[in-house]
Amino acid sequence: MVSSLRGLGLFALLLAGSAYARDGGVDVRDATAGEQSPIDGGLLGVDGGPDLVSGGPDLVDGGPDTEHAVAPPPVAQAASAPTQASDVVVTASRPLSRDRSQSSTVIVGERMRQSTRTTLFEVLSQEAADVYVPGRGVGLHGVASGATGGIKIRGLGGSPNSQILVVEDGVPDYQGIFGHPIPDAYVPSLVEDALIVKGGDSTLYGSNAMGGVVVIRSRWPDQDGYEVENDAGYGSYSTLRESVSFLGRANAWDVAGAFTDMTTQGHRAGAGGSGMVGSAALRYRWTPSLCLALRNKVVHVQGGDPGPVSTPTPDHWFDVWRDTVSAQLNYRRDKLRLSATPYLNLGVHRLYDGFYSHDYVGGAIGELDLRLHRAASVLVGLAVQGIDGRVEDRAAGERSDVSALGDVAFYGQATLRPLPTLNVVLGSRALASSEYGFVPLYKAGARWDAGRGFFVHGRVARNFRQPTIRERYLPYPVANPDLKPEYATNTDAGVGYLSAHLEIAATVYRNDARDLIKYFGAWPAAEVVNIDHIAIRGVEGRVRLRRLGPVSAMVSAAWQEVGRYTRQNPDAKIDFMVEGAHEFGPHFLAANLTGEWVHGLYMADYERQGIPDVFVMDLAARYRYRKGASGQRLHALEPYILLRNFLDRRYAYVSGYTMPGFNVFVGLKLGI
Amino acid sequence: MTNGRRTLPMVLAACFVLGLAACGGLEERERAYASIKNDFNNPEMPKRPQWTICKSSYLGVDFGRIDLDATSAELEVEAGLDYVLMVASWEDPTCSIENTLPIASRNEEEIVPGQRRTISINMPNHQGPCPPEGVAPIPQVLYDRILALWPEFGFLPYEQRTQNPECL
Repeated sequence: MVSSLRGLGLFALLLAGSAYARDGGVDVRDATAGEQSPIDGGLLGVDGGPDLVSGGPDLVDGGPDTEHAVAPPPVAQAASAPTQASDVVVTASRPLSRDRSQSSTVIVGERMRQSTRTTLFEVLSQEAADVYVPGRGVGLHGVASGATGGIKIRGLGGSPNSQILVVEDGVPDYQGIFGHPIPDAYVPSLVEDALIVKGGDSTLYGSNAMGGVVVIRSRWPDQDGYEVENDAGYGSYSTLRESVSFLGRANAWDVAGAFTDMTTQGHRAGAGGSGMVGSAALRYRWTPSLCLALRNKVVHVQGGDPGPVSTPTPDHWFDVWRDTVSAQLNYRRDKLRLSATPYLNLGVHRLYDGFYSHDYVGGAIGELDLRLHRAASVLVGLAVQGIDGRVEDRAAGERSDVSALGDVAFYGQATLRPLPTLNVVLGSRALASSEYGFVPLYKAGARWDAGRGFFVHGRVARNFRQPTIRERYLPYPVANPDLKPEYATNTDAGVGYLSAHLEIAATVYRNDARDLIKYFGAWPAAEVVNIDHIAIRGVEGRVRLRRLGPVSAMVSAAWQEVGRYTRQNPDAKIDFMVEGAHEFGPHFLAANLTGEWVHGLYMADYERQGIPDVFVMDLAARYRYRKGASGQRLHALEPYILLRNFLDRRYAYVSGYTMPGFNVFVGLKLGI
Repeated sequence: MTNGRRTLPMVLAACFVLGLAACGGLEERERAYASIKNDFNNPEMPKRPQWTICKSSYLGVDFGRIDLDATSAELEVEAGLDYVLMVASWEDPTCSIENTLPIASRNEEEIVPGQRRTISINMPNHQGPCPPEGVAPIPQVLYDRILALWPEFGFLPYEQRTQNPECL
C-alpha cells in the first residue's frame, strides 16, 4: 500500500511539473517501482533537464488527490530534517490546470529563468510553436505605437493583446483602458510555473480568455528556513540585469519577495529602456487547511518606440507604472477547496504625445471546488469586476469622458469520470454586464487515457472578449459606445503518447470568431464596429526526447490557415531545443541550443507586406557548483553565458524593426 | 484486443480531424454592400479641395458620379480589399475633360462579408498625380488601372502624369 502510494505520489509530482520535478529528474520507472528516485531538492535546484518543460495535457490533473504524496526524501529535506523517517510526506503544488480536456503546455519557472529569451512571453513562444510573440530587440516590448509582445495563440490575440488573458496568482491581469496585459510586467524570478491554455477558457476565466490563457503561479517556500537567490548579469548594448529573490518560512508565516531591474541602451537609437518589477507576498497559515495570502506587485517600465530603421522616432517615449494588490483566502480539506480572491490593479501611463491615463481593474473571485464522489467533482465560482479610468490629452488640454464597465458572473464546471481512464468536463458561465447585457458561455471536453501512455482529448469552448474602454469611448482614432463583445468557438482534438523518455503529441484545431471589433477607414471618417467572422484552422505537434543519457531534445511545430487576417499571424512556426547536462558530485554542467523558424509573416492583412522568414538560434551554457554548509544549508554558485543569435542573422518580426545581431549576456547566480 | 485498444484513439482522432476539415470546407457567402461619399467638403478639414467625383469604381463595381457632399447608391460588392478608383474634376461639376484627373483613395479600403459600409473620400484619403501639395503621389499600378477603366479621358501615361492639363 505504501509502495503504491509512493508511486502515486511520484507520478503526481511528475504530472504537476512541481518544484521537485523542477529540481531534478523524476523517473517514471522509479514511480512504478516505488524505489528511491533521483529527486534533488536543492535550493537552486537547477537541472535543465527536459522535465523543466511539461507539455501536453498529461501534465495536468484535476484530482485533489494529487496534492499530497508520499515520496522519498529530497536531499534538501533530508538535510533540514535528518531525523525523519525514510518516507516523508511532501506537498506537491496543485496542478495549474483545472480542465484535463484542454490543450495546454506547462513550463516550470526554472526553465524560464534559464532561457536565452529576454521576456517571459518570448520564453512561452519558444516552448510552443502555436504560440507566437514578436520582439523588437534585447530589452522591452514597450507600449503604444511600435510596441511588440502581442501574444498570439492559435491565430487569436496579437495587437492589441486583448484576446489573450494573463492570470497571475488567480488574478486576471490587464490594463483597464486598453484591455491588454503589459508584456514587460512579467519576470520569472518568482514564477513557480506557467500554463498556456490553448483555445481559451472564458468559462473559468471570463473576458479576454478568447484565444488562450496564460496562467502564472508564483513560488512559496515549501519548508522552514529561507532561500535567497541573486542573479546579476551584463551583456551587449550595455544591458544590465539584477534580480534578487527571497523565500522564507517561519512557523505559520511564509514570505516571498523578488526585485528585478533591467536597463539597456538597446541595439539602436531609441531602443533602450528600463524595466523594474518588484513583488512581495506574505502568507499566514492558521491551520494546514486554512491560509491567507497577501500580494503586491509594482511594475515601472520606461522606454521608447525606436520607429522603423528608415524613419526612426527615438523621442517617442513612454512611462508606465502599475501596481497590483490582491489577497487570497484558501480553505482546503480533503474533498473541499474554498477560495476568495479580491484584487485591485492600478496603472498610470504617460506618452510623449501628451497622452495620460490612469485606470483600475478591481474585483473579487470566490470559488468552491468539491469532490462529490471519486467519479465526480464540481467547481463553482462567482466573479465580480469593475473597470474604470481617466484619460487626458495633456498636449491639447482635453479630457475624454469614459464610463465604467462592470460585470458579475456565475460559473461552474463538472468533471466526471465514468471510467477510470475517461474524464469528461462540462462547464458554463453566465455573465451579466452593465453595458452589454447577458453573455452565456460554455465548454465541453473529454480526455481518454487509453493506457500504455496513449491519450486522446478533445474540447469545444465558447469564449468572449468584452470591448475595451478605448474601443467604446476614446477617439484613437474613433470610438463606438454601442460595441458588443467578440465571441469565439474554439474546437480542438489531439492524440499523444507519453513515456519516460518520449513524448509525441499532435492537435488539430479550429477557431471560429465572430462579431469581431474592427476599425475601418481613417480620421475623420473612421468607424469601429462589430463585424465579420473568421475561421482559423491549424495543427500543432511536438516530439520530446527526455533524458537519453545526458541529452534531451524537443521540437514543436505548428501550421495554420488564418484566412485574411494575416497581420502578424504567421502561417507556420517551428521551435526546437537540444540540451545536454551532466552532474558529477557538487558540479553541474549544462548547455543548450534553441532555435525558432517563423514562416508566412505579414505586416498587413490579406497577405500584404510580407516579411522574410525568421530563423534564429541561441546557445546557452552554465556551470553550477553547489555544496552544503554546516550540514544544513545549501550554497550555490552558477555562472552562465547566453549567446543570442550566434549565427548573426539579420531578421525582424516587425517590418523596419530589425532585431539585434549576435549578442552576448553573461551572468552569475548566487544562492543561499 | 490490446491492439484494438491502441488503435481506437487514433481512429477517433482521425474522425475528428476529418470532421473539422469538412466544417472548414464550407464556404461562407462573401457579399457586402458599399457606398462612397464625396467628403472633400468636410468642414472638419482645414483643406477642402472642391473635387467632383465624375467616375468611381470599387472592387470592380462602378459607383458612377458623386457630387460634393453626396453619397453614392449602396451597391453589392464581393467582400475584400481594394482602392477606390476615381476620375475627379476640380471645381467643375460638369466634369470637362481638361479639368479632370485620375485619383484614388489613400487607404486600401476593406469591406468584409455581410458589412454595409460607406467609404469617405476626402483630403487625407486621396492620392493623385500632380506635384505634391499635401497629397500623396498615386502609384503607377493604380494610375494605370484608372486609365484602363476610363480611356475616354485621354490621361497621359504615368511617366508624364504631372503634365496632365489639370496639373499645370
